[in-house]
Amino acid sequence: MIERYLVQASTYAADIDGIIWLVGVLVGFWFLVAEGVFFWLILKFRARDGQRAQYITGEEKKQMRFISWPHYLVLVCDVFIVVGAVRVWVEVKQQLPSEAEAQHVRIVAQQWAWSFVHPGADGKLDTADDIRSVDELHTQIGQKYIYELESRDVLHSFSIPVFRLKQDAIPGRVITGWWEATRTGTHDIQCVEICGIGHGMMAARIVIESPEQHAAWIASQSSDQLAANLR
Amino acid sequence: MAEHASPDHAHAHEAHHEEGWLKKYLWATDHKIICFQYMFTGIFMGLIGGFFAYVFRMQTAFPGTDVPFYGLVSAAEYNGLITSHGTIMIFWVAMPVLVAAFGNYLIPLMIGADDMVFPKINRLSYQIFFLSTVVLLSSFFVEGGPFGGAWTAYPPLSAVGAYNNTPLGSSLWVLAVALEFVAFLLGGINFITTAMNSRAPGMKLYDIPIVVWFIVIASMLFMASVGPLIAGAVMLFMDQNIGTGFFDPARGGDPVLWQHLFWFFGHPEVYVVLLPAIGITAEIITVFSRKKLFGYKTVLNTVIATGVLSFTVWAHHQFIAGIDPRMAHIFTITTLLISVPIAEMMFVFIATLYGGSITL
Repeated sequence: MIERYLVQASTYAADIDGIIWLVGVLVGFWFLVAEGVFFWLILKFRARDGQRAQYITGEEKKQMRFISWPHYLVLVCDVFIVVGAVRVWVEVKQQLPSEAEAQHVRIVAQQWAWSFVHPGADGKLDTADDIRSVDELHTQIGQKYIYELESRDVLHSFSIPVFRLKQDAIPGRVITGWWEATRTGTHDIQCVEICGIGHGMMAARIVIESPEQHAAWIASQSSDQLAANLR
Repeated sequence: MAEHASPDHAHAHEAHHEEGWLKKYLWATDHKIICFQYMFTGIFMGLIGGFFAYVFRMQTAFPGTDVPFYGLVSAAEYNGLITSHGTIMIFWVAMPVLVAAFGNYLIPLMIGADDMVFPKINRLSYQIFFLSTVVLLSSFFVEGGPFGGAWTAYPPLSAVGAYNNTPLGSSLWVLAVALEFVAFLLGGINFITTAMNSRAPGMKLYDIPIVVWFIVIASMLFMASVGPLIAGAVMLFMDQNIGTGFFDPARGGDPVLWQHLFWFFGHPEVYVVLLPAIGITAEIITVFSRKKLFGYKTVLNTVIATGVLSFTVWAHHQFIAGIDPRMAHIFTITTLLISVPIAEMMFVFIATLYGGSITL
């Protein structure tokens, strides 16, 4: 249902939504059960004339099980969430694709703009045909990218909602992660860590292209860019 | 008319026997008066913090137009308002009202003590709290306006005036928060000592009303967790004002260090404000169902378990903040474990209703 409001455009977007669903359903179930019992007991034991409250300490084993069994069940739900969360986390944040199958892209955050360095036609960074851009990131579907995220001044956070990707940028460090887009389109990139008075305007675009469109874009950029890089 | 004439006379008459209004209400050592001082300061700050929320939410709803009762909100003002809102609501509303006011009022009355063990330290606690309030509010009248780097104050944004554009406001923010912590440390000393040493004769630890336990354990959490943050606040103040580089990566510092110090305090702090509220709920449920709390000792154990676990979960605020991704697993597990004692508390409250005679 989440994808009806925000499309899933990366390989792991559905997994992250799945975790949100898992937690939402489990918590929602307990919420409804707890509220149901709560209101039922209030109704059942409402004050009536001539009826006194019972003396129940809740210290005896026979009484304790009414609260200990539900909490064992909560623990079981926790295990489900931990297993799901660890599985998704390892996939999204802990493992990087191999160098052979991935291209690198450099993302530099500063107050208050995103600059991107794309690998050019050769698919490698830090060569003469790199393509630089500001506030516009081009990516190709079906291609794994490893990003190198840097910051020039304060903390920023790089977020592509349609990828379900979010990562803070820290000055003095290069943080790596990855994505693989699955559908074409133009979507938002946001800064999601307050970074000064221009934080609200620190938005950029991601253009997700098919291989042919991407090749055409590289060709259209290369001639000017090469000249600029050599200068 | 006679009724209108008499108070003057009565007041003059009383003055001979009782201390003056100023001494009674503003220089009090009485725990109930100190409760009112914290309560009314908290409510006053709550009105201010609530007004800020109204202003910046109206700005987002109708960008570029005048907000009624405020005017046009600039980007700098927006950041100042949102930062002050967060800071005020946690440190100047939730803390004084839930912990300080209820703790001061309820602890001596419920355990049968005359007053707090250290009434003058209690008075000093409120005075320092009042001073911190003045320091925080004064940041609205300095050049550049109040601090605009979010209530979590992550450096380098909070440490460098050129980045946040509020060099004076950010120093005053750190100072106000540090003073506020000193005030609650003094209050915490009183709460714990009073509950441990001044109980009525014959009142054992398991006889203490449950809300007092909740407040005392909240105070213990606060006192045990606040040290790292005060150390962090001193480092941040020095970074801002005398050019040290604790959080400056260009000089070997580390911005993530602040996040660890902040959240090592910040997560127990969540329970510091949550536990007194749950304790009050427990008392309300027992009273209105005419019942004893179901499993008093179980509740006490769950509170202690929550308190201990709350020290092991802080990095779940930093999953994407550049920590090693492998560390996230440990904090995911501890975070989920906390659901067990908290859920058990909720089950206990529901079970308390069973067999009761409930009036609403």
